[in-house]
Amino acid sequence: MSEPLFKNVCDEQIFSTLYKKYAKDLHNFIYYKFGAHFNPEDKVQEAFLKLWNNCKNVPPEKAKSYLFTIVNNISLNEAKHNKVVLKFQERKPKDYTNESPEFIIEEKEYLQKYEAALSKLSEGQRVAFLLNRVEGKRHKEIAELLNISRKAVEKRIYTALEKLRKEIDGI
Amino acid sequence: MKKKDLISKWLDNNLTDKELETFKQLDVFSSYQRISEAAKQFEAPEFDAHTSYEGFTNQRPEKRRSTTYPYQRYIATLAAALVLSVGVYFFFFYAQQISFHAENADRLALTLPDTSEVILNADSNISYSEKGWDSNRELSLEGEAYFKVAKGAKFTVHTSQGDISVLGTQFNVKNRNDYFEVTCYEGLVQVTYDGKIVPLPASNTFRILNGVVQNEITQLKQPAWVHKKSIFRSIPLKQVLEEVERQYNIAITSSDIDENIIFTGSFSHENLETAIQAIAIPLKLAYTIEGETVSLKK
Repeated sequence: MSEPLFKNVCDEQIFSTLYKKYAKDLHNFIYYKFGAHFNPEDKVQEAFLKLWNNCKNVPPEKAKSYLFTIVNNISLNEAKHNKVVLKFQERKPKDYTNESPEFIIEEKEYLQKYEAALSKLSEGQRVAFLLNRVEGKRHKEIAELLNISRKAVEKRIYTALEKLRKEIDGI
Repeated sequence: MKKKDLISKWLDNNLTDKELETFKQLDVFSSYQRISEAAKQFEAPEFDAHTSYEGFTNQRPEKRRSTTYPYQRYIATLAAALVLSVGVYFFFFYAQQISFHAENADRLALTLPDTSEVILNADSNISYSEKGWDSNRELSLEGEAYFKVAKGAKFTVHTSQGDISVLGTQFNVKNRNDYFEVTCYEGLVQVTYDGKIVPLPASNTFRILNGVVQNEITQLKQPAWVHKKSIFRSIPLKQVLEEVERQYNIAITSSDIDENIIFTGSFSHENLETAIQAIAIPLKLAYTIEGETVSLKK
């Protein structure tokens, strides 16, 4: 084990590296957990501001957990009573199309059901599932981000997939 | 394999070709496939960390705030104009060479554009050109520095006594008068000295002292000076005293002492008196400290 080079994160260079390394993960984490109704970027900046004001007490290797905890707490206060809504991105209509109107309507209905099913998942399941399926992250990476075991990640994603299938297929 | 394990492995993109075939035979395969595909349409909105960081630095409060007086502002304006003109000069005549300098009794930690880290020891200087840094990682060093190189293209440090090139590793370079030392802490570095190429594996030190090549093994994981300490093994007293001068920004007079005696030991960078004692006592020297001068006598 080599000794850490820096004792805390007050150094501008360290701080900006942290920002560029974790901001996107924090942003997506908040988005998938709490939905589209508030601006996740604000929460990310707020969390980094807290880190900046408290930089003397945070060693670099603790910064990641610190940021995830803070961003989660800030968002929890605000998101308490709101229902989670994740909006699907409307696909750009193609210039040419051989998709029949029935297909297009069916596709849209499918996504609406999907949206409803997603909001019924637990927060933990939804975050793990979307980080895995949308961001393409491996189980191990997600476990490191969320500070939980790989086995727990595996279980969350599997359960989420099963729940979605049952909900959408109407079984 | 159980169905559940198969699905979990698929979710972790970890199936072998054969397992994938079995997976495709499952009755639920098409449902899963479609759910997985459609998930991408719930992607989080675009987020650019760089722009966000700029926005952040603009609204972030400054760490230190001092009250300014009118004449201070006047001086500040003058200073700004001076800095600007010097900057313009360097901009046009030095093709955007960026340089950093650590003063005596100081140290400077930097992050290069590719996130490689550099710590400059006292009285040391590096310069590099930011343009094309990603494809051409070259910098010049005077003095001593510790490098933690990020993986990527070849990384070269030019010094007046030799060149060091690596791909991604941790190493220290000390380039002082009559003294050239490279220590590799991780990976493998290549030292080019006097037309010869010397490969240097981890925990090895390559040193040239008054033109003589020495090789040594080190147990340290990082150079001692990063932790405010200097350690010497069989090094002439002259080099040791020069290091004390740099670390404390003082002058040492030692007229009646043979500066070529070999010294083994260490000194701390935190307290001048203990540092001087650490050198004077084993060599049975008397010392006096007066302000910024230290004299050593037999």
